[in-house]
Amino acid sequence: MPVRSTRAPWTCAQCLLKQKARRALLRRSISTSAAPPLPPASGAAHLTTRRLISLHGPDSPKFLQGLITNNVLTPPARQGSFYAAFLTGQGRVVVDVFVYPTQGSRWHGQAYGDGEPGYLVEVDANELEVLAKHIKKHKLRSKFKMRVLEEGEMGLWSSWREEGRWTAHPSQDSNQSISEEGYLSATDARAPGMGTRLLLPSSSQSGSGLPAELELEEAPLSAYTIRRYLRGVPEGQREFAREESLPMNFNVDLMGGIDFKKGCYTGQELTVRTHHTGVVRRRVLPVVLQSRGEEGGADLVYDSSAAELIDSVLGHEGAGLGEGEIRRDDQRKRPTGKLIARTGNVGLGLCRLEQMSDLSISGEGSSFGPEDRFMVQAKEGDGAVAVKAFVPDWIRGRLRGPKVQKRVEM
Amino acid sequence: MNITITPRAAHRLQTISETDSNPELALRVSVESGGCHGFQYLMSLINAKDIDPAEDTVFENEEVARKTGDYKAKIVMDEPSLELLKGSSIDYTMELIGSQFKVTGIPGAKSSCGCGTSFDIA
Repeated sequence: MPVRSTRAPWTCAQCLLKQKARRALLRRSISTSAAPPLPPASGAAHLTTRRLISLHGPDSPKFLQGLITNNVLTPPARQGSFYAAFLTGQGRVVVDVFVYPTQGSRWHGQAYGDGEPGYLVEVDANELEVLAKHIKKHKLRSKFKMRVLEEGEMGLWSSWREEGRWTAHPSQDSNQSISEEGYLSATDARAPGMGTRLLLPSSSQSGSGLPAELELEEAPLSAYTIRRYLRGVPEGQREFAREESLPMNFNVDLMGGIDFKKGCYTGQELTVRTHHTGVVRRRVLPVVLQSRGEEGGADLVYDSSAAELIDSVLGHEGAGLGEGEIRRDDQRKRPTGKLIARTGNVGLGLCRLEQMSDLSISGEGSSFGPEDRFMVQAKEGDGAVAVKAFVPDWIRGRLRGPKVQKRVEM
Repeated sequence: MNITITPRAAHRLQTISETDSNPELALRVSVESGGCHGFQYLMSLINAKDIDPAEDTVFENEEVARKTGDYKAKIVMDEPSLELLKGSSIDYTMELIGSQFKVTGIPGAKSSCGCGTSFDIA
């Protein structure tokens, strides 16, 4: 009786993929740490990926007003913290920021002890120098002082609570920048359920880092990142490349970061024109990655076991950045988007909306059907995984329908 | 450091000086951040008395624009503005949408916006 070869010649690609995944899983359990755990229902994460710059002086509101996409001077002068972006003259994103007005806060009193307006600008830690240079370049004779806060001078935390699933879109006057506990804070209104950002002075950060009165467990940074990806919220210049990305492709408008009526600011020309006369065809959407062929009833959930499988094909997240092109999974494999970030099996895709979702953006309408399949190829090797984009309700709700071209009859 | 004052701008300044009967008239050009392209210039008419010699540089036209008077056009710029605008010229444009003083030919400008008052330095 002939001995059958141990490896059947007809093993299909799917099974090979699974074999490979299993082997990689074994390897990983020895060598590297496992995929990040599921984010807790309530918790707080220390955002070590972000740093702070302080602007303080009489001209600081006017100066910021001329450079950022959101309105600093909404009469009466804005008290609440808000989300915004710095743009280049050509309308590309330099950095995405949160701005915390500090006037009236305990921190402001200790640091400056005067009635002059002041702001803390929260920025991607890797782009700290870029923003500092950008501010210096535009300062000229404006009367304010800029100071980069030392790492650890103030801790930035994102906190979320189970009962706070539906963060209301903050109205501009109610959103105070000082929390009930007296900390500088911001309602993270980019998407529902993003929670609250808190700036904790180093003195209040005891051993675990979190003041006990908040009654929150510390969660790893990955928990914040996964929650962000599940909601389709991009952040930082690893996700939206500096001086390349257009704000509306990255949902800055839908996340409440652009005031279209505020008047001149750097980069306004293109932004406003696109808003009023253009069509935003590509936007960031949350995506789920799976083995190819299994993508029937995928849900938008993070699954750490699935995460390991995806890591085994695409490599560990962060290993290869600019994660790769999303293509239609058919003969022609035409690109329909880009995977811009990923943790395990969830991530963010910059997607052509009318090809990868049922959203109708232009007069042509969506070509998407439930049988359409998309995939992303590994940087190395011939592995590939299926990609499925989701349209969160908040994006669906904040998008405008396609513009109808009205013809004037003469 | 040179700033060019075009004859049209000199004429206009002389006319204003004569109608206001103010021989001390000067045009201040200053740059601020903001505007669609990062920087924008602002202009105002001032009195030569208000110039701060520590900060400001005065440019005076070399000749009288119109022989009927003896006013020489003056442009005032402060230090940081001059840094950005040196080598440019001050013009007075007459267009259908309105006549205005304009800064043209800013050597460092990479791009400027539709209205022309905002520019970007490379």
